[in-house]
Amino acid sequence: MTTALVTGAAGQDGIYLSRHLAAAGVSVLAGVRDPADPRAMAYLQAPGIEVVPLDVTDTAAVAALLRRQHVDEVYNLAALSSVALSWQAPQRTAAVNADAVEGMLAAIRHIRPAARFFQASSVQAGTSSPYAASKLTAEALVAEARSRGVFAVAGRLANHESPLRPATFVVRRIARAAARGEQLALGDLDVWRDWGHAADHVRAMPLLLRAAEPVDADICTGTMVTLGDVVEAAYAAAGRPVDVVLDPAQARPSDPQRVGGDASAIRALGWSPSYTLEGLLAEMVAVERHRAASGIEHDARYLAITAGR
Amino acid sequence: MTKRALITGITGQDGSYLAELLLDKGYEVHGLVRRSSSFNRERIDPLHLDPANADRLFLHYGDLTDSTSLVNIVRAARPDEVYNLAAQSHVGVSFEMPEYTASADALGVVRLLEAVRLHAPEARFYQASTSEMFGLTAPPQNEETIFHPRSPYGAAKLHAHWACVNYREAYGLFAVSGILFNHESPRRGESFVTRKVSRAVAAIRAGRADRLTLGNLDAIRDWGYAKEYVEGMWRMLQQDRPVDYVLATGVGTTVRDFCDLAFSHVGLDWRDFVDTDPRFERPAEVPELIGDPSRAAAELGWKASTTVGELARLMVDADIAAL
Repeated sequence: MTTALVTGAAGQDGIYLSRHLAAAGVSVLAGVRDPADPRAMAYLQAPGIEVVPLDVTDTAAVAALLRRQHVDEVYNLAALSSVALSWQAPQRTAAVNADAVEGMLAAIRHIRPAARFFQASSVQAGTSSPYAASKLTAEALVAEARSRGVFAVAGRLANHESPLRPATFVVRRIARAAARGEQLALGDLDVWRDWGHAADHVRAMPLLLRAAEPVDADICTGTMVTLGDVVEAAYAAAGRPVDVVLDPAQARPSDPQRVGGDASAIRALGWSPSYTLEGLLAEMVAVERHRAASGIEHDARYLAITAGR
Repeated sequence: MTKRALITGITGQDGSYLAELLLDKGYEVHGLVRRSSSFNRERIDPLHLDPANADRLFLHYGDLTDSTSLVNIVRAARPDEVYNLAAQSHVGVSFEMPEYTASADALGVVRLLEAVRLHAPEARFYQASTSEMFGLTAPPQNEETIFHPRSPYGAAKLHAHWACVNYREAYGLFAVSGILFNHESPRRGESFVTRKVSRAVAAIRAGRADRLTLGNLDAIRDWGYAKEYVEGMWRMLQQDRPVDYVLATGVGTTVRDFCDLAFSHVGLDWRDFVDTDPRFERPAEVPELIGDPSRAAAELGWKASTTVGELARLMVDADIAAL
């Protein structure tokens, strides 16, 4: 039986990936910094998933875990994933997103050299932010480990959302406002991104990791839309007219206006998305309605709502 | 009580040997690691990943060119002893990157001394100084010898040396400058001449290479075994008073003779394989460095025991084993 270590397992992608792997019969070690994290309590209590406390910046702890457990696959999803917050905490961003990767790869090379390593990177790697710089560094570390015989790959994910996105991220804010019929202030609607559903994107990770050759690839739908399109899809799903005002103070001039990826490599591995943009927003709006009614932020039942499939 | 040491340059040759020594002596060891997008902690990984060291060896990312990171690390590590071994330590490279060399090797020491003065003033401070500070001055060189550096590296290290002396005299810091002559080992960086030679001997013997190109074969150096020199560093910080010391073997050897020692160990004649190329010579050469380690012998009880011949042989053997 395959055993996989998923770091950052309490995050959006970690939850979807852990559950996807476990459903496929993989024994999942779900690494979370804080086992009392409400997301871990709500979404990682599932057959085949064992929650293990793990701070990826503690290389000694990572090494101890690899020594204790036979691990075939490592999915490193732990990250400070907010571009905006990376400006507030550049050192911590580099420590978690890049330095920890060096330590993890060293531990794999010395302790489990046959284990395969997936690094969650970003199509924004190398654009202008401490977050982007840290992801580019991690990609370089993955490439170097590969040159030394480790089966290590980086998947560069384009934007991917879901009902599990933290409430500070823009698409979740849009879904929430549309579901509640609240007016929403946004900085700039003419931002082009390739938005997908996290549940789709995590399915690409084991495909890359189990490919015949270790090759980095973008994980994206291949379709670019604007933030304005996201707004329209959300309010349409909610059955309400768009109610958005522009607030220049929220604009982020340092953010690139257009970021997407090349989906050809990942599609060649047999991956395709199951959600459309409309489906993604329909699901997010449906869950926001439940949240508004129940007042409960984290509930495993939200994962069963598939309004958009 | 457990002593805590902070080692900058812990991923280097001397840093990794010193970390081993201090862990053996029961220290809690904190190491400074420079951020990089390539692996640069190969030498320390076996120690760091050893479960026995999980709660007594800690790596911190930082950089001698970034004073904020130094302050944070000094505050986090609360060291009793600080060993400043981090440097851009390649003489040839310093001619290519004089400004970076000065920033890391000279100003970096000032940054670290300031961090220690303000946040760990009781800590004892070891500065890795170098025989390259003597440069053109005739041998044998000791603690009283006039300095005449001949490279951006030597000049930067001399600035650091005097900064160390100054913090001792001005602020009462227990700051010591250890003036070490060349010290080598199988962990020496691959661009340094002794390691170039030992690697080439191993490769030529295995049929994987047929030539070795070097610069000035007439340069005379005093080569010792790095593993022994880190013991001398530690002893300097255990003295009653902060005093600077030279560590050396006292024996000078030409690059040519080092080649002979290394090649003859595997039954080869170096003259059949070694070429010289003036491009490998430095803009200003240092002809002759031979240390006089008598103060260290008298006051520290420290003496180099590995001869240059033994050193060449153990380096060649290690590179053969690594092939």
